[in-house]
Amino acid sequence: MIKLLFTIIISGLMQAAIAQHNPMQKKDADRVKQYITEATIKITTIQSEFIQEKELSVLSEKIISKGIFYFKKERQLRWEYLDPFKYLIIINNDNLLVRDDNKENRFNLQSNKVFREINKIIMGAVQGTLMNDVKNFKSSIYDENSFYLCKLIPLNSKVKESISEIWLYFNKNDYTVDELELRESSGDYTRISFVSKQLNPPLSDEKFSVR
Amino acid sequence: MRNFLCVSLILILISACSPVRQTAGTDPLTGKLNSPSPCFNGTFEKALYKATLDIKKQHMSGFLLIKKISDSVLRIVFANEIGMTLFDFGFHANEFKVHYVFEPMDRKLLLRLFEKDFRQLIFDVKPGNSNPIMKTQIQIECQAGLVPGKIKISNPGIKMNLDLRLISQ
Repeated sequence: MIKLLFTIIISGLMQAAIAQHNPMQKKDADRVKQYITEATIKITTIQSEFIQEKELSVLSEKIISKGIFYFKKERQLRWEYLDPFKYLIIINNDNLLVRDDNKENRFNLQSNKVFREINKIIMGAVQGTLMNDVKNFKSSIYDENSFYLCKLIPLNSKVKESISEIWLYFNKNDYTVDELELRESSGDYTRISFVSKQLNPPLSDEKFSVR
Repeated sequence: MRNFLCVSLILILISACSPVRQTAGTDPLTGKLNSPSPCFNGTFEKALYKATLDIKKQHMSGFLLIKKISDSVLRIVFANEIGMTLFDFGFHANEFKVHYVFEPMDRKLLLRLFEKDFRQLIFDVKPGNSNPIMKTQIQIECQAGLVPGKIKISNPGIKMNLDLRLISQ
């Protein structure tokens, strides 16, 4: 009797574990994607602070940095690290500016395929539209307690060498990205959590100036 | 430029043909990483640096973590600001292990230089190679018992500069 009870409990626990790790059925996943797309359409600007944790699993180390980011449709982004160092990335359509201490570098995104890919991933990740890019990513959605988790596997082998998976955590209330994780094949990952997020605040174009 | 290519090619060929890889800075009796630099003495555990790395016209920046894993193993990891790992090296008693290197940096000469430079920095190993291409200049600011605050490693032969500024330890 005890053995039977034990078996039932174990199989119940296993089922619960399996259920938790199964992606949503296509119909339900499509519905969530639809909500996310609708939410994205309503967004013209985003302003948010962020906390970035780089996990080095083998070394049991976490490198934490903090900053603020601004996004303006269609393709303007200001990504600024403030602590423990200053580092600024501005993307303005096809132009990229990187400021590291006193050194400034400017690039044209069209001139470099790697920059183009990175740009596409960053823009898609902050807006949450990356999962619609079926040409470059295989996506699956998981219904977790307080969020929807979208796992994206890059199909491009070059991208895959640096990033094995991208995980996007969507808030169930407003369907915007609360967290994103860039996972490497080594088991290391970078988690970026957005805090004090504001949707559609007024943002001047000067914030995105690459001059 | 042609000279540089010739020397690089010769170095690569020499390294590729060596049947046994001799690693300086290890004690042949104990196999431990010995003679730590006075700046990275026995009590050293780890240090996190803000790093900029220039190789010719390529500019990279991010974090560099130096961590002692055991008496015989030390890891050095360089990741850019967004968190992408650019290299992850392990210094073992008798070998240099490349755990990961970003594909464009995966060049034999460059990896040998990194190995040599870091061994010289951490273990105060005097370079045996007098080749000007492999010549390294290290400037280090440290006080007794403290992890170095600023480090500059230059390889004029291939126009490589690594600047490190301590963030935490």
